[in-house]
Amino acid sequence: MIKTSRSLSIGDMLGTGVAMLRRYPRLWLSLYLVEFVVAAIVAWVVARILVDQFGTLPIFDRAVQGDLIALLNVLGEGRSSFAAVLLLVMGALGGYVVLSWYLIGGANAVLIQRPEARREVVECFGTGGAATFYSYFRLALWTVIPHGICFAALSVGLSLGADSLKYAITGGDVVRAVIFPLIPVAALYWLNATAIDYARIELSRRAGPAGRPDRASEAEFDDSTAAERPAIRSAKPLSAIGALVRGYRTVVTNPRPLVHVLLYGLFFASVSVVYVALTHGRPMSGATGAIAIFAIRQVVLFTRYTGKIVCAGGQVAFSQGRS
Amino acid sequence: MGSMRRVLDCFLVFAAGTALGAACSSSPGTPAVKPLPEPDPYPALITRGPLSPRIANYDIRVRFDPVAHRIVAEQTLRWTNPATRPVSKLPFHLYMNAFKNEESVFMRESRGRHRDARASETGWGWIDVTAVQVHHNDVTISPDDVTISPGPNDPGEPGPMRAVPGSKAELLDRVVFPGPDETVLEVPLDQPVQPGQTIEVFMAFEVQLPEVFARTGYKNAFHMVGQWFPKIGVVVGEPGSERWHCEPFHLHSEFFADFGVYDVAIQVPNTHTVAATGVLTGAVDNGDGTRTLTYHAEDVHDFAWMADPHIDVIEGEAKNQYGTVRVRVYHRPAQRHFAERHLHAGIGAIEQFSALYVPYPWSLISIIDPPPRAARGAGGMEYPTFVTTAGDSFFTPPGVRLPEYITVHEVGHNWFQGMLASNEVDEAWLDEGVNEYADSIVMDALYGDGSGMVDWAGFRASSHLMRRAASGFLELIPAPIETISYEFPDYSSYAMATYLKTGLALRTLENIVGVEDFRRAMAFYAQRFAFRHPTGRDFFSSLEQALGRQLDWFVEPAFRQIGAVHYEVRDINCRRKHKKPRGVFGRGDDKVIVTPEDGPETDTWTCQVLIVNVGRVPAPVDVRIEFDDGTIHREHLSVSFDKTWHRISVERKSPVARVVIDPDQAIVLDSHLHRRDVRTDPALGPARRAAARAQFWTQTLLQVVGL
Repeated sequence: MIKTSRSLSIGDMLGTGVAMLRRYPRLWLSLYLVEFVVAAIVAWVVARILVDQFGTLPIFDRAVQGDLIALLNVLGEGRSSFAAVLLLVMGALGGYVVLSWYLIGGANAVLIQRPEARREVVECFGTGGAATFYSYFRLALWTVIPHGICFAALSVGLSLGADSLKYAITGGDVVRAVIFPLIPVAALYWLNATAIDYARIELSRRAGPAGRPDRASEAEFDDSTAAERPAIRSAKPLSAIGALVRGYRTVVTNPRPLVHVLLYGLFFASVSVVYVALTHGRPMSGATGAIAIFAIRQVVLFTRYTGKIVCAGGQVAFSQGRS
Repeated sequence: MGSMRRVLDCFLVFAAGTALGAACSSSPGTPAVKPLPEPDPYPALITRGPLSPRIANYDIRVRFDPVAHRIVAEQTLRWTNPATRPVSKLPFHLYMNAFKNEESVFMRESRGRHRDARASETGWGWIDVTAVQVHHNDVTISPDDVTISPGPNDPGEPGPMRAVPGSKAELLDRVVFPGPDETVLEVPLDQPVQPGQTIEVFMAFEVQLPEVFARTGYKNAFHMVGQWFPKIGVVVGEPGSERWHCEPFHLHSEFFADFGVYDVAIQVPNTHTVAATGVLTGAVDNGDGTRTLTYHAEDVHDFAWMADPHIDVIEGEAKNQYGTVRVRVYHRPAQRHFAERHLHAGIGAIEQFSALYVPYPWSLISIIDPPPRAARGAGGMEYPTFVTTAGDSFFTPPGVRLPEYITVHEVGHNWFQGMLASNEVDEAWLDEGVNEYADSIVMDALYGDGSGMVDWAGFRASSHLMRRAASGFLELIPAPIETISYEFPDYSSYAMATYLKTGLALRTLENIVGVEDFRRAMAFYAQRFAFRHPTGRDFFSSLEQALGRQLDWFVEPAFRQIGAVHYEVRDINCRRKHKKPRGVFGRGDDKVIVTPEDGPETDTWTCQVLIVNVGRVPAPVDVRIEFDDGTIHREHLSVSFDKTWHRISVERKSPVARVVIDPDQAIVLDSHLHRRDVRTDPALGPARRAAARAQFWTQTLLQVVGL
């Protein structure tokens, strides 16, 4: 029996996500490597800058080891170097956002089409990413509006909280000053991010490889009732704004997409907390320490990344109304 | 639609929660009647007085209206002319008029901002003198002659003033405001006050407190009352050429006054707790919902007080050579855990400063910990035996010792200005900067060497190094330390020169001349000038006398010119020594060419290290040169006035690996530490470690913004 969006539970979404993760391990590992390589290139350039600027200065060694005075002095005197590092990171982030339109498009195509053979997977990913790149770009332009609203809400929340924060003397004061004003912002961001995810999936479903409808959906059409069809797909071309509207409709008409993303957010935060608990107060010096901290960080990053893939798999399943 | 409504409902709940949270956090409840306090069972001084010349002595009667934030008062000043010349006019500070309007000197200079606080647009403050009468010392006035009539059936309205005995000459219509605003009032005298003669000046006045700003005023129910009464100026100058010092109230200037005895009776509602300069000598219930509390202070040059219906107090004891000093911390209940930290810091400060300089002679000290919303305006100010502290914040947990530091600093002011009553207007550095130097010693003594300011989450820092690291570069301060406070171009320049640079300069001087000797010299200065008005010249001449050496070589550039020390390793150059010098030698036909074969390399390295001081302040410094083979060469570079660089030449069996200028960190008057410690080969490890951290956080951000 085919499940519709209405009947697909959170458990089904998670289960499908995990199944998708296990079904295409090479693809996900490749995409993780892309992410890792981007960050590694940034790190390599950062290391060059730091060696050039601070390699002969032992005060930098002390700063890296946590000497507060040395750290403040290095930050003060090496302001231009750190500005360069910051710009580099910002540039990498911007570039990766653009690259992600392609990567997410490809990943969504694979999750929608569910190709079997390795070659098919590669082809599906490549054509899917290329087919949706410009529609994702247009979608990104439209999302300036909800992101702008979110940013405005953040500014208001921060300005509301900033005054109270100046006078906070207990943890409760901080919660009142910061957390309460930011809860609506977080909720808005949560809503926007989820809606955008579903809008992308909708665009990918409309495009399909080389513009053809996806096989799975075709199969569903055969068995689905007339009432279910509009919820599953329509072969008509969809504009970016249309996809965004559909994305918002998906998240406001059913709480499960939001809860599902919330679970991913909690997973991400929990893994981050575990990382802090594992590493805080442990210097991990020397070659062994460097290898250990590198391994821990990669495990943390990869674990969070798998959470994201599971989430994406669940979202596609929900959008298609099948597990 | 139903889902949309649910989402909307959620937002409304959040908004309501936010508003409720804010409302819950700011309501301290209805004030309750407090038990009548017992008078303090000890005298004002714990040693034999008088300790000072007691030139300006005040009897003040006050009625305080906390609803209107208003004070109605009468004071009688007994003032003795300390000059060798007669005095024909008496200038008084009316500091509260600085907050009267936007045209006061203070407000023009500050544009309504003082440190981090902003002046209220509506809560102006002012002082009106409503009567002035003068008696020479052939007439005495008893405090009983001066009374204040309460207003009929309305404690909120100030009552009419009753004129004091009519034999006095009423001078109100003859007083003038000689300055650019109303913060200085001048009373002309019919007869001059002869040298050594005492005059009595009666004044009635009303004060409207401002919404708390620049050390004084109210915030909700909390009232901090400082610089509130007409305070006579100070006669300064060499015998024969004395003059009045009574400047308008400027933005950066603080205060300067003569020592005396204060008797102050304050009528307050019985719901209020009061703390004040001196000891409580009387408490009378007036039966009308008010009480009159009488305070007595000796050998002090100011009087401040605080009234609040919601405040608690904790008390401890400090011991010094004179006996026991009671230390009280007044705090709101929510700040109890901070109050305990302030109490510990206050007790420690009393004991440490007493041991370092002169014993604290008063029997108690009150430390006011203002409510957070009043702290920016009222916190961090010093008065004799009474200080306000600050720094209470969620972001200053135990180990981040900003609250303790502020308490130590303000308590320390009981020495550097409280007892050593220098002119804070003309020589602000002499109390603020000297105090800052002493604070770092006290903080390290109380909380551990090297962790006086921070000992939290693995981070450690002493107060003076932390302050230096967190501030801008010293050479960018556009005015010397010895600048009149109101002539600094902005607050940052004033603060950096007056506090930070002075403290670092003294710490540097201490390290140069020897810690023990310098501290002995500082104690000599303190003992010699306690309860007097020392000047900068007195300070340095005392140090020179105690140390037995001239200090001009350092004092002149460090205190009287802009700039600081700025040492750096400019160049390290090593090469193998040749058995014979290579090259062409001789002239004409006698030329001899020494080739590498003729002068092969030996196993000795000749190294030259170039050290420069591109700052304007000279300072002797040690240099440690480390070689690849682990050997060390240490050299002391003495002060050089004709050149700003030193070239060190050394021969060793291996090349230089690292050069460290000032390995003991003695020369702290230098904010550029980067090139004071340089190695010849770059180390890749730390940069890679930092880069690996950058990679983790970059990848984390990539996961947030992208796939």
